[in-house]
Amino acid sequence: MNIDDLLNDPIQYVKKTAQSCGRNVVAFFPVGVPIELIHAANLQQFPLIIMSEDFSAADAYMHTFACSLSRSVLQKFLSGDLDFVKAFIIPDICDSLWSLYNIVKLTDPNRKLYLFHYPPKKDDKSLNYFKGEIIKLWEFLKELSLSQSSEEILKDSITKFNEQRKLLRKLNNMRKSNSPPFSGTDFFKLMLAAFFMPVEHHIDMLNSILGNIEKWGTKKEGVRLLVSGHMVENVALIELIEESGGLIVADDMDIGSRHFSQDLAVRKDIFAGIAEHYLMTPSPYRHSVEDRAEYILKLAKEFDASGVIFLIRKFCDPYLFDYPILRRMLEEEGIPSLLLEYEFPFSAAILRNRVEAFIEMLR
Amino acid sequence: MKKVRRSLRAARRITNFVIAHYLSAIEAHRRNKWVAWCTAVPPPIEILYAMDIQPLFPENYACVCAVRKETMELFRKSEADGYLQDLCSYARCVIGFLLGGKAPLGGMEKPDFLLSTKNVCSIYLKWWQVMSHYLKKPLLILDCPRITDKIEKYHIEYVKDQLVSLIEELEKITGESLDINRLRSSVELSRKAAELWHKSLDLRKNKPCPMGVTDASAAMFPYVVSAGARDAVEYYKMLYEEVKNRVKEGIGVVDEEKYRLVLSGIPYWHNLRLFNYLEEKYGAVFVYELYTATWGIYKPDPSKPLESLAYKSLFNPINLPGEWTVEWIVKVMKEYDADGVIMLSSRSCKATSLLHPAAQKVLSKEYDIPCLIIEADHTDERAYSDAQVKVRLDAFMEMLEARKEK
Repeated sequence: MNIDDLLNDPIQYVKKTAQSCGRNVVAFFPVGVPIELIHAANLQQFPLIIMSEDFSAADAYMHTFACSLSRSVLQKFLSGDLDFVKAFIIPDICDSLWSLYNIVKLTDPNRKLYLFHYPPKKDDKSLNYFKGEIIKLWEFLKELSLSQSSEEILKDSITKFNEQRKLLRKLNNMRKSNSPPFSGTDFFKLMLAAFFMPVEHHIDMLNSILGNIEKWGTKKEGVRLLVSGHMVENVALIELIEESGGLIVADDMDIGSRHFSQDLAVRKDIFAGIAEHYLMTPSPYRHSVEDRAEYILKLAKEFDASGVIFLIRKFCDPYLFDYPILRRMLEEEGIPSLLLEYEFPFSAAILRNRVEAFIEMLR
Repeated sequence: MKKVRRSLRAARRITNFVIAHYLSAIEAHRRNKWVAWCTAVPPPIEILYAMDIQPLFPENYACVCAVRKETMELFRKSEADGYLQDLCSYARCVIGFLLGGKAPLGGMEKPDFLLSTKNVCSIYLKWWQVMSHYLKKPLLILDCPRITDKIEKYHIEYVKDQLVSLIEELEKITGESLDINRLRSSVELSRKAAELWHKSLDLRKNKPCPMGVTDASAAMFPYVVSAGARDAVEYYKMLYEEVKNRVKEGIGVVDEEKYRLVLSGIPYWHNLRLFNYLEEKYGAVFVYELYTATWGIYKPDPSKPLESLAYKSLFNPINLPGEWTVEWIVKVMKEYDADGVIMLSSRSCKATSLLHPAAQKVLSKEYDIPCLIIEADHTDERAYSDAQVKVRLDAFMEMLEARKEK
């Protein structure tokens, strides 16, 4: 199956892969949930970056001012499309997801749900508590597994994901060039695949791409941009930016550089290493706006971006709270930015107009 | 027929309490003491009172702005700076003040530091980070994990450990050590106030109900801002006596109490007259609000102050599982012999609103409890349509009437 097939029908892809590998499926929101644990428990990961065009079932259980991602997941859940999922891991990052957790629990009390807590601080006490959370999650996952697991296997999984991170960084660094060999859309598709595919397959894919880079992807011209956002679920949004004259050369996203910018250090206390890695990744759910600004500015300089697009889903409070200060801090460094707020399903024409106007200004 | 409404003397005295509260921060600075801006749902302010630190509460300040209908300029200020209308209207109100908007009571006295809990919503953390950025003052955070089943020992240990660090931070800021006996006294005052407040609320089980929602929403203020201080205890003694007398004399909120209602969600502060509408037109009285009952729901124990304050920080209904809230509603419906539930959802407050539709389904299907959901906003009156809301209330009341006649 190629990437486009996967993205056209992610649910089908997950089902098929789980079946062929003989694994149970665990769904999760890919925001700092240690994917290594899922892999090491020999479970098929299912990132909940899915979209629904129909909200009829969800609207009866959740207000329309929750974000369209949580409403999409609820819709698919209520309509039975996710019945094959053994368990759901919901990170406690925002009020929409905490409510989603409670609503699913109320409608189907027997569903296996796991709420994953993040401390909003980086001190030793937070790190220690977070480590405890990771161990609890590990125990939960091992119980769902159809095979035995161990810390040794977990170490192997971490090594594999670090290999994937290294290859992604290698590709990502090529975007520093004046004329990158591939577009931001190509790279984003590869990132989505990184969360859906078994990591071994993804590594093979990355190796073959790197071995033949000139033949992979589409070379694009455009104004160099950095995109900052969360779990962006839709390639069309990225495409739209590049079709409007932009070339995305860097990102500050969960389905992006946050996943691969640092390796996960294998420590003697393996869980302490995992905790440290996931707690330190810049994210509005736990970090200050100043920390985030520093990360974005560093990326923008390194990748020579002329402007930043904040790609934020409507009603995504944590990101929308950071935006005004980030905008000003970037402005002070001479980097213009645009807030591109969207809701699924979105009107491409309106978004395109806004991006075109922004790019005109940057030219 | 128009019914007569009566408000409590104690509730009318709240205006003075509010003014005194905001002045106390100015006074604290004049005496070279410290001021902290705190989140309003149970942060351990007992510790602050034991260390002569005056807490102020931006959320309550936003309520004051909304009740006085002085929010629009503040909203315009924050919106012009990029804070979208979908964001928490409490936050937009106070951020508008920080960005230079004209605010009532001369604005809030600026703090020396900020203290945020993470036991209600994800907004608390973000909003406090934003204020800390604009004020250029340090932000202290108390992390309270969500409770998906029950509060476990490890949750309490985690929060208690953080309280120890918090006290160390406060000692650094003030240069003074915490006297554990003063903390015990402060926790004892908090316990007393919580007990008197909830004893007053319990009296609403009587028929006719002696205290209405508008009075209860005002009378909760002292516990929010003064848990751990003497003035809250004095206030609730007075309140309790007055409500008890009303019960003795059989005086209710309205002359002919016909319907008893339970409220979920935050009152629409810009339009408290909505409650008068129900009281006057239908003789419908709110006998319990999940909102007002949240404060003081747990009575801290002075013999183990830190552990108890940790528990208090965790034990907040929005931090507890959704099933807990549903069971809570079922329990109070029975205990207060109520006829139905009105859920005031707020477009900009996901934490208090998003559970409403699912809870409504469960309550009506499994418990045959009639529920109505209204959608507007707690502070931003632009999201409120009086005519639409009243049409929905009328339909709901007619339905309750039909049920009574059955």
